[in-house]
Amino acid sequence: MLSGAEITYVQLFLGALLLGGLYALVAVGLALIFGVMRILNIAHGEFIILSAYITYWLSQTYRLDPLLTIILTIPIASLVGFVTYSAVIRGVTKSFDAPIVSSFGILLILQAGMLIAWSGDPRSIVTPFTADSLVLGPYLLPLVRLIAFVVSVLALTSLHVFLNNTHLGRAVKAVSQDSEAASTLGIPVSRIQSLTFALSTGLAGLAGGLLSLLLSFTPTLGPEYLLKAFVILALSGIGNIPALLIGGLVLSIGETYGSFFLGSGLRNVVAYIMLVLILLLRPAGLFGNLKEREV
Amino acid sequence: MRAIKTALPILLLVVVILLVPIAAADNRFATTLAFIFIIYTTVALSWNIIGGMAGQLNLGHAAFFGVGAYIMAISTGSGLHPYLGVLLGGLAALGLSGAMVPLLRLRGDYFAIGTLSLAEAIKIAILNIHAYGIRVTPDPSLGRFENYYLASAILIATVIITYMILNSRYKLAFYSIRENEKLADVSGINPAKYKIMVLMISAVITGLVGGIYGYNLLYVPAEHVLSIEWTIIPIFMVLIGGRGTLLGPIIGALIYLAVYYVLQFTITETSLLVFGIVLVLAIKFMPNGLVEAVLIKSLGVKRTSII
Repeated sequence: MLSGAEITYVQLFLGALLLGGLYALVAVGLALIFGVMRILNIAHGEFIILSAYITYWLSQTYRLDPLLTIILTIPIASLVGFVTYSAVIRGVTKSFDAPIVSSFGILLILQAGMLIAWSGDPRSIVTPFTADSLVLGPYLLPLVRLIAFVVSVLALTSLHVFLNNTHLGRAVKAVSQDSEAASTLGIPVSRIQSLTFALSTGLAGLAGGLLSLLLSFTPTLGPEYLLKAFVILALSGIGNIPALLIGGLVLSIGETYGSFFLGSGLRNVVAYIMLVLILLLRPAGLFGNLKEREV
Repeated sequence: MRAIKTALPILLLVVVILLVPIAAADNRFATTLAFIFIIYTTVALSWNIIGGMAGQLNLGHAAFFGVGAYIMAISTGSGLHPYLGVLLGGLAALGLSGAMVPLLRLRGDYFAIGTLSLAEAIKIAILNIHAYGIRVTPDPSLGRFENYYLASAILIATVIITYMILNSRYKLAFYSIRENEKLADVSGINPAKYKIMVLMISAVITGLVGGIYGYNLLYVPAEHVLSIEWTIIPIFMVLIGGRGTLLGPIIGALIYLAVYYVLQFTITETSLLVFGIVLVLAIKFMPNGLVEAVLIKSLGVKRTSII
């Protein structure tokens, strides 16, 4: 017979496992933009939170089914991303990390815009099935987390298939490996980059929509999700979707047990400590193979 | 000749700053405005050393400021002389910068995220301990007047440090690290050494400024002193004015203060929005800052060297 403490630990593990899929989805958008454009999009967390608000807004205004609103959120987020990219980031000088400062400006604009539109009060979406759980022996699998996990894994799998098995996906991969060579082969690099940005923010849209079902959110939570995405990328590198999934699981398990033992307020401190540990244990830096591109 | 040209407006500015509390003794508003200007300009100049000259995009600058203010509040609370507390605040920021050294291994954009998340983590950790901030008991002999001159002294020291760097070989080392770190490395410059140096210099200055700012406020709310605005504002000033120059951040600070004045002295959503938009436009249309943009226009020359 399992003791009460053991049941708690396993229950925590199951919850973390289900959250990990969503975390991987949070990270994949950041990885895509970085891989294809070599731009670290600091506003990635803001796109996720904005999507959570779009889902919230749609479900409040039109009384739509939450799962349906998530599907509607994806193209909207994608469009916002595309417009932002075309207006702000494209054509900016690449010296002195100018794109990252631009994306920092986008972070401010989105965060302020959300504060103006929805105030700083935490919001959450309550669905008819929010309180439902799948019962598995002594354990409970919350239904929303289960949905988020399944949808995330499905999205990541289809992205994997898209990147490896379609013509367009392989063009994206080619640009990420060597944009100049891709250009000489007739791949429209600039168009692929715009597409990648739209794809990445679309994935942020899906992640934000799922997130809005799981957790409450405020306009200033963006950097928190950026940190999560960054820790995952540090763990698993970019360009490897299965590894991202594992990275997401490691982070969510670390966070869950960390906040269980240290108090939930220190959740992000756990993520940061993980980041520092990775940096210390891999002194060559993250993504060692990509560092040579500079010269 | 060129040295005199830059030194002259700055000397003038220093004189004006030093005269404000005496000339406008009855005008508390003018003195407060000048105090804010001093604080912002110093923070901007200190960010300029690491971010503008050496090109290390530190997005965790607020942590230095906040930790400086916080340590000052704690040590003053335990009976220490307030200005010794300010000094301790500076030293604490120096210690923090030591903890940030491993992050310097990261290339530009990773360094930016690493520092941003470190600052956020520190803020969350401190908010967990002191959710409502710390009240500072004032020393009766040290009022606004004294605080003003301590802050001015820090500003003047920072101006002198910046001036000295810009007229030494260090400038070349910093600029070459900014432009191409690998190239700098193979040219016999040790990037690690200079990066640690700029990080520490900018940390100490910011910690001291945070300390005196907190003491002048007599209240140190973690939410405010560790707020991301202390990172945004200096970056804004440096990028608007001109990276890696002495005059640029000062002009940026003047512009910022004007915006701040128009926006009614509050960091609200609207001002964040305005700063975001200006930042984005500035990067797109004048990536080298106002000083450079005006210079090119008035002289009709474009710089050709990599610095």
